[in-house]
Amino acid sequence: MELKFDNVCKNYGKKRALVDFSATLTEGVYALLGPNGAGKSTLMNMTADILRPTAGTITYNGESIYKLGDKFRAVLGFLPQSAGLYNSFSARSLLRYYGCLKGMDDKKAIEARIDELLELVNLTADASRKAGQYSGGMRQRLGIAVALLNDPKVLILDEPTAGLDPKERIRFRNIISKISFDRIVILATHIVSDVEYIAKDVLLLRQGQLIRDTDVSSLLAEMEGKVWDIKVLAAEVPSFMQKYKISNITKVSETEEEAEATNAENGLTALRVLSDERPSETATPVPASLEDVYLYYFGEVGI
Amino acid sequence: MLRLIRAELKKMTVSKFFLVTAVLVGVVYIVMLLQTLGFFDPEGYFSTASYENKLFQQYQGQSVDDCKNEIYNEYSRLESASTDDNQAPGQYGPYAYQDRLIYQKLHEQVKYFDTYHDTIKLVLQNAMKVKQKQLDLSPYTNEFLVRQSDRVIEAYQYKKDFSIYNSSGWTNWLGRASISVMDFLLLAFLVVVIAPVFCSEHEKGAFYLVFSSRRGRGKTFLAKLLACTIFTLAFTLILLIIKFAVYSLRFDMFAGLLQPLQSIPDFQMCPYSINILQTLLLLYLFRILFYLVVVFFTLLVSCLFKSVLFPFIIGGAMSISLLFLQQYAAGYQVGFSDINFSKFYLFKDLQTYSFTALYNPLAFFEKFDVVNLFGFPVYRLTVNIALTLLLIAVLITLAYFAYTRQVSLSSWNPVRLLRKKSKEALS
Ligand SMILES: Nc1ncnc2c1ncn2[C@@H]1O[C@H](COP(=O)(O)OP(=O)(O)OP(=O)(O)O)[C@@H](O)[C@H]1O
Ligand SMILES: [Mg+2]
Repeated sequence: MELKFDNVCKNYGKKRALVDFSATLTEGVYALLGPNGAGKSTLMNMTADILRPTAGTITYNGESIYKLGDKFRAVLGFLPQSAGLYNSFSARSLLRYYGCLKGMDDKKAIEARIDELLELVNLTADASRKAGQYSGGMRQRLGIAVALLNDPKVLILDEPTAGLDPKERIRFRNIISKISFDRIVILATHIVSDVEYIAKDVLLLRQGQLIRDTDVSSLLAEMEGKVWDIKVLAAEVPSFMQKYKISNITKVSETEEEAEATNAENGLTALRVLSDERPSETATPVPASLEDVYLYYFGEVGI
Repeated sequence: MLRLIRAELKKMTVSKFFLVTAVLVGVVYIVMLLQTLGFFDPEGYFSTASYENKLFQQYQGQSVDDCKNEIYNEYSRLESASTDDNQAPGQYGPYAYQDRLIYQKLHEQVKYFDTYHDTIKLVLQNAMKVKQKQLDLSPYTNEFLVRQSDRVIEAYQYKKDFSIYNSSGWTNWLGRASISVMDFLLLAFLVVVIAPVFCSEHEKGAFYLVFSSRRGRGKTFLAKLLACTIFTLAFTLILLIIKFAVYSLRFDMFAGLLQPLQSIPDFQMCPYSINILQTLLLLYLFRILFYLVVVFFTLLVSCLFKSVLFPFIIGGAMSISLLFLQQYAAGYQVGFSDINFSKFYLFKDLQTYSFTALYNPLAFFEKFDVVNLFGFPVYRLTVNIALTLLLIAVLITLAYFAYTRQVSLSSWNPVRLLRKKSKEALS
């Protein structure tokens, strides 16, 4: 199973949303990371047959997905970024409707699948409520259930965890890692920690261009010696922020002696600094997280 | 596919808005129907009606020749006995007054049946004359006229067998079949229901899931199209049934169902050999075609603009303007005597085409009316239907392309476009 992008470009009028995107995806989870407007949704919409590329080809097992048409869409599961649901439908009848659309004709099989999915996304208790009465997170979970309905081989998830509470995020993460071994999962997200442990590869997009395409561990390895912990006085923080990308700021919990030694404005603050060189004598190198990687590529000094 | 259509129908009809409007429209429709039939008349319209039906039933089904003498006699007896004194009901038995009126009706009908064949004979003779004389004009005209005369002879040569029935119900029905404000309210209702079908996905953002599903755009379009058609059919059928039921309360509607259409005086010259039931079905078939044109037009607009508002406005405006069109620029006016003397009158004939004519196609049944199609006489009705079907096909094709095109997510919205253009011009 192979999904291949070959110099895919997409222009909206003069706006170049995606520029020469090339990548080859096989079974596993691919995390698509990039700031707002990077072109993530554009790429996903093209893969889901919503948009057509301005140039380039997308092939599935060697054949253009647009030529394959419904044969490709049959193995496709898609969670769009802003999925609208029909408000007057209950979750169950909505899933039935999408079952129809996805060409699942065996009535018994579809009911069984719906039960299974409702259980999976923890909506069984609310299955007969109108989708219009759902909370944001519940809608998102229903969207995930719709995407998984036809047991897709290619699963495209555009910010699937947006609006989910921590418990549901973990549930989602577990679902994806459980099912991803025999399918291609493309997952765009801003919550980097969601994909840190499940992503096989990370694709970093900036202004429509693919800037990195590697696995998580090598990305983290590259960051070795670039993430530093420093304790500084509160007064020094602004000058650090102007010089470096700061991924975290925490107040150091002081012991009583320390509190005596320093007065209020000299309170100690711990900074997590991203820098190619050691930012100060007292800085100690620490292992990087994927969030540090994200910030290293997309962060700006001074925020 | 069937399940997809069912799902689309469900989407159209399962909403509070739909139910409330449907009930409201239904109630208003029935009340207006009853009103036109005098249901709310305190004079006891209905008892008269049932008495009338009873009297007619005495003769019902008898052939004209068998009972015409009896009816003529009874009628003249009642006429001569009628004085100013017994004009008022009640004096000479409860029904003396109505008796006379009803016998008047009976008498009129029998007289009409009696003289019908003489009138037709004149028409046939005329046609024979044209055919034999071969009017000395251009060769094409000759050919066409001869062919037309053949058509006339073909249409009228069969002798009609009439039998007695109370035709006032059907006369009333057909007389009121023309367009009315109420019909356009119903049309507007149809537009309101149909308008969101092809664009609600875009309004709600659900199209991502619909388009990326296996069935995709093409199948979804087809399912929606069929759902709209089925809805229109069912809607028209339900109205027809309601109307029939309400009319049956007042008239004996079943009695004339299988009588030739020509048994109603207005349709004396009808060239088609059809009975009233068939006429009724055809009438409604054409009305459905008319509705479908409006429906598909609405659908095209909603595919183009991908917003519910535009089809609402345009569909609504269309049904209202049709109302005015129908009243002030009524379809066409071509009489039986209108004979085209040139070779290509096609264009002029087609100029008179208007699909609104299909809404009230009775005119097509009232006279012999053909179009000169390259020298061949073709019934205008046939031409009209063909053109309407063509129009529907064009509308559907355009809508299909509008719905399935993959150019951009942003829709072509003239208001937005205009705003953008004006902004550019200003800066
Ligand atoms: N329909 C459209 N018409 C014009 N420009 C568009 C359209 N959709 C997206 N764009 C532009 O294309 C670029 C990429 O957008 P896209 O939605 O792919 O970004 P994204 O990476 O998904 O961002 P986000 O994280 O906010 O979802 C943006 O600059 C956006 O303004
Ligand atoms: Mg996006």
